[in-house]
Amino acid sequence: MKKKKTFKQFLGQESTAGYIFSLPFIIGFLMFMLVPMILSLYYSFCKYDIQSAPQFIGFQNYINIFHDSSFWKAMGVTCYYALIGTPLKVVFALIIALILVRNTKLTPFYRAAYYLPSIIGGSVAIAILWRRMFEPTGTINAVLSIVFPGITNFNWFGEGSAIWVLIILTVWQFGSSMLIFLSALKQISKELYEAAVVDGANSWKKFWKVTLPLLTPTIFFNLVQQTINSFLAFTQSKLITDGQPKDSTLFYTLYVYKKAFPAMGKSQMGYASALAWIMLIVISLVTALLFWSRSKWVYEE
Amino acid sequence: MKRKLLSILLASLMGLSLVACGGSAAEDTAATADTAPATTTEEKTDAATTDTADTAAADTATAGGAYDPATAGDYTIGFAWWGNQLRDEVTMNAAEHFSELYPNISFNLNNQVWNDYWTIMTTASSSGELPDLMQQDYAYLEQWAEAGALLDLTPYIESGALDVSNISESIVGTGKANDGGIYAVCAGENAPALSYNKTLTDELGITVPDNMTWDEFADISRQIYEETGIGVLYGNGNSENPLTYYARGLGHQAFFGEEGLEVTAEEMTGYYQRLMDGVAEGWLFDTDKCASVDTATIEGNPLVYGTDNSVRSWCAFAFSNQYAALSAAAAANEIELGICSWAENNPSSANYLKPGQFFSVTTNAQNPDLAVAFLNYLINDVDANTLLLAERGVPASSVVAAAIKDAVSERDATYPIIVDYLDMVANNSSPIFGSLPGYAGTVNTDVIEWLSWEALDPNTSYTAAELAQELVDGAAQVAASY
Repeated sequence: MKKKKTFKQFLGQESTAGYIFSLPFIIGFLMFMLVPMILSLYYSFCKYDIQSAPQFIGFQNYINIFHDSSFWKAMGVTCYYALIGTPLKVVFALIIALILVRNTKLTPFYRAAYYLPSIIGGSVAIAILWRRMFEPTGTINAVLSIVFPGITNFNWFGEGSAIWVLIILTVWQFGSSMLIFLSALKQISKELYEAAVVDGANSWKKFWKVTLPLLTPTIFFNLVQQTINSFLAFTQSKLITDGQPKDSTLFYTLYVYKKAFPAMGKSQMGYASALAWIMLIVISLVTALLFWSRSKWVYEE
Repeated sequence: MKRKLLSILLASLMGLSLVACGGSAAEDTAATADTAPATTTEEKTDAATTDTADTAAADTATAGGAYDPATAGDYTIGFAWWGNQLRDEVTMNAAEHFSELYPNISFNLNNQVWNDYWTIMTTASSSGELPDLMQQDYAYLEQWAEAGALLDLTPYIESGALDVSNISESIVGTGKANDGGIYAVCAGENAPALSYNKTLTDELGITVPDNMTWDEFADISRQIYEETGIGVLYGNGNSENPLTYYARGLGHQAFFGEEGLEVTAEEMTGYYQRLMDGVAEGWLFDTDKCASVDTATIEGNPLVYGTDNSVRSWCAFAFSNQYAALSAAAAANEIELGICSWAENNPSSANYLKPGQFFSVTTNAQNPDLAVAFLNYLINDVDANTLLLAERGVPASSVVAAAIKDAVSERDATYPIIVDYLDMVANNSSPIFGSLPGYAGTVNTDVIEWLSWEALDPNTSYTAAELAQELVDGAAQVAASY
């Protein structure tokens, strides 16, 4: 017959301590994540304007979304941004990491300097600075007109180029990916390179045959993380372009926001919730696709 | 097996929180951005705080109305408005003066730009946290009254706590919603007004006539564009105002009806056609150019700010109560502004006097009596209105308007110009359309906005007739699903 545990014994258990220490996260998750998520799932089947009670309408929101040209536009813009911006960012981070892996006196300074944008890059101040820099009479055009005298007052915020203003901003925030690459680069053992040299490899070959294969797990990690981030990008689009012109920079999250909190008229919170759930499915699919591709190109020891 | 299930669950939780964290960080920064425009100007404060005593000849007893705010105990009145730097200053001054009269009252003031204002108020309304008093717009009154967010002021008017005896009945009537209740009181009279760069037109020897037609306007714009490269930024893309104005020019009394627009696609074709013509000729800002300038704030408006002629506008389709703030911003860039009516082919039919800038007491007000007393102070107190500088428009109360005229003119040179302009409009206008149906706001954001960007796009695949058809169909669709 089992003896009943005393309270002290209960506290002494390893698992109890574990649960108590993770309690802040668990409470936070339940209150601020799980409850809103369940609510939003419910709202996505409702017509809900926040000011009056939600009305259940079944799948009507989802059906309307597929007939909504702005939805397809926002989805297209976001995919373009994620599929162009993320690889560019990862490649850029890798190149800078390769340069900064060598130890010179100034490397620590450069590492810090290049990391800085990824801390401040999502901030409002940078968004405003970016807008000022790229405006027709801004710094970027001033510099360009010196290098290419033909270019004057190029309108960066035009329909074709506005998205690139945002892509350049995200690529510029390569710092965190760079740091991860740097630590991965340092873990590649010297012996592999020495062996390669003995076999007569030049530095180009060393990069392609040794460095890159061993970095693939890190590249994979960065790619997954940055892709998810790109799909969720919001601040840049809201503050720098507000989706203009002609929705050519309308990020998906901004579209959700505009539906939920429109500048005028009633909130379409139910519609926005449905949009958000579609996004969750899309991100899950893209991430699953990346994981599926893992076995094809990621080298595992 | 159980352990594996648990680890999968935990892993998925972490995955979810990663996704969710990205979202919440973005929202935080957006919220910071919303509060960003609240900065101050230097020059207006001292002008407003100096002697108000001499104008206080009118009774200060009306300040609190029938309810005595001194009996309210310590209370913080929440008060929110949209506007500009000048309005923020003068409103804060008026609130401060109320606190001086009743030291037990303090204020929680919330000033926003137009677009952010409605977003924030809608959100506040959903959680029952609306301020006691909110600035309200004629166009959205119906929608807000319908949602039950506003307090019916009729009992207060009947009891005399809210004194509207000096306001003309027709203006009081504009605060009525469809159910017959009065949900808002007019803070000032107002009219559509074209503000233009007088320094520039004088230099070029151009006279801008009052009541000009669209063709005259196009001629002037063309000439200015050819000589200087300065163009025209036309209206706000997501506003029904320019379309309503055009429809009124055609003789329509209303733009929005019960189940869609009151105008036909054939009639609205002309509206889109002339925008397309302006873009083709070069003087009207096209979509790309609109995206490269700041259209949200008075201070960044291309009329008053621009580092290059190619991103400047020689005029702004604004309202008369924005003239003071635009003039202040223009003066900073050494530009003098002029004022005239919006260009339309039948100006006396198109133009209207608008009861602009309503104040509403919300149903979230903890002490509605006190909120009404403060509202009464804003509407009827001479000191308050002197401090407010008639920035929201010429006061609706004829007694107050007469009492403050000299004092305000002394402090703000644009005031007599605005009064003259409104006099001119009074003789050359038609009565304002009825308040808009609740679905109108959604038509603005979901239909009118993208159509105006198409119309201003030189490479658009739409014709003017197609755009007009989309407008009529889109509005009907929004109305049907409202």
